[in-house]
Amino acid sequence: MAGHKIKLQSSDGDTFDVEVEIAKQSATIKTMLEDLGMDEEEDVIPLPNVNSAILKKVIQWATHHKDDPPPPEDDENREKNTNDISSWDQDFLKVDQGTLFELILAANYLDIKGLLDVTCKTVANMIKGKTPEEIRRTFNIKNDFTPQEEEQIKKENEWCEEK
Amino acid sequence: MTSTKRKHTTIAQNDLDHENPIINGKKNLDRLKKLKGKSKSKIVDVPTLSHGPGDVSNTFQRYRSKTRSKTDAKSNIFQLPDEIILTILPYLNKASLVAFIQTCRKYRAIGYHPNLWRRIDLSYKRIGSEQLNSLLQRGTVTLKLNQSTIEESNFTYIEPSALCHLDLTAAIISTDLLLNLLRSCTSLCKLSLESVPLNYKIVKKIVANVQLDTLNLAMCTGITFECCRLITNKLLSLRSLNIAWTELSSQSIQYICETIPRCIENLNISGHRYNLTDDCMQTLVHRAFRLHFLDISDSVVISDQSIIALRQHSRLLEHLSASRCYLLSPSALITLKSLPAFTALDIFGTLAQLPLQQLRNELGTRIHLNMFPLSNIARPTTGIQRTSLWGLRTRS
Repeated sequence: MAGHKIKLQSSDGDTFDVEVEIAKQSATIKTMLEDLGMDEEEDVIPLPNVNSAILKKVIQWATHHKDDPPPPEDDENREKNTNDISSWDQDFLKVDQGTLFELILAANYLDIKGLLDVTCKTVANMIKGKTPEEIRRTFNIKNDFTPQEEEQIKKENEWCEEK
Repeated sequence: MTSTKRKHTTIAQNDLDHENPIINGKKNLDRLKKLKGKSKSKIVDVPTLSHGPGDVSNTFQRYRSKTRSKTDAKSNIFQLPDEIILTILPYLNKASLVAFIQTCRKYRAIGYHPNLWRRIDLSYKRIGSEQLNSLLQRGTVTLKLNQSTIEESNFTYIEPSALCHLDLTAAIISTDLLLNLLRSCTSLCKLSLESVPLNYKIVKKIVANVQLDTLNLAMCTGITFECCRLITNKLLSLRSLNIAWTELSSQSIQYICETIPRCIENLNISGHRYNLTDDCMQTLVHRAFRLHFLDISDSVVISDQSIIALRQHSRLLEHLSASRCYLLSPSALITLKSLPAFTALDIFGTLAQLPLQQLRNELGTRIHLNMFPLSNIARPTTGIQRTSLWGLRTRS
């Protein structure tokens, strides 16, 4: 069945022809195809939560990763590592924050675990090792704490500080 | 008009996308190819883009800047729903997590989600009781306080906790604070208080956790006969118990052997010199028929009789440590070979090189001789897994 294609339609109406096997990395699309018995040739799968630019990126990612083994299940005993992002993914994710966040939302909506993992790791890497003020500046977060509250959090968590 | 613009964008972006040419219907294909070359030459080759009217690249540029401002307005981490933030945060170590929590109220609320604080390693650190209480109220289940210093601060009452696995090995903590902490625990499954001074009140709090399956009291002091009574009468689910080198009286040892929960599988009762006798062992093996791993090292009055009793009654025995039990003879030890599950025997310090080699030869390849100098019965952190707690990863 290799080479079989389906049509995905973005929120702004563009359709994209994608190989079924590539599209099936999205658990959402896989379920639609398998459970709803959609005719692959004829039907168009509407993806109202993903715009064309992002859908294009998602397809690009899924095409590159089409032969990857399925990502491992989450396990509390496995170390949560953020240093294992492949160089291709690192380059792929050299995008502005807006695009990165939209990719996360799309990966979440389409249920593509591998893409969600790698985008979340990327955001984690943007937080790691920064002071609260640096994180606020990075993500444009407004500090709405009173000085007392800030002091309280600091005190409660003193033991976390790296020594 | 808008639709044309959109197509231009798609095309222009395809520019960067050599691996995945997406075909937007046959009609667009030719236009795409045609324009691809054109926009490429404009964008890639010309460093500063011209803004002349009718220029395709200019259309693209205008559109790009428009989308950019559009995404930038949306480009806020607040657009990510809480569950996604909760997918990101487990990748942070605790120091970065706390920095993130300090950014704003919304993220403080998310950042104190119990999932993020389930397993905490505070080994070698110093923590006040107030901070400890604050941490426990976030839902910590597995807590490693190995050699930590826990200090009283503001006479904090530690509120009920969800702790299941608690390692206080060699922790520096006052008796009152330890009572305070243990009072908060009712769902402990595994507990280590190795090398911590105990008393009756503390043991009473321990046994309130009736579901406890693993208890490590190695090298604890203050375990009286009454404490032993509590332990064996209340902890009926105990499968692993370490009471090595606890200076128990002969009466206490005798009592433990008579009343130990029948489900016990792993028992370290080493270091009791003259108090663990052959009689105790007879009583023990008749009762504890599920023993897999037994450590009776440093019991200097144990004789071959105990080995015979083990061979007869402990059919599930896998591993016996009997180091420095000087009365044991190789001829008795070799009979353990007939136990079907038996795979390891430790008798450090009892045999000279030659008889040891002979014993090794007779035991065969299935049984490891003198492989494990240190016991790991009920102990939370053994071998190379320094960051784990009873096999559970705790590194932040």
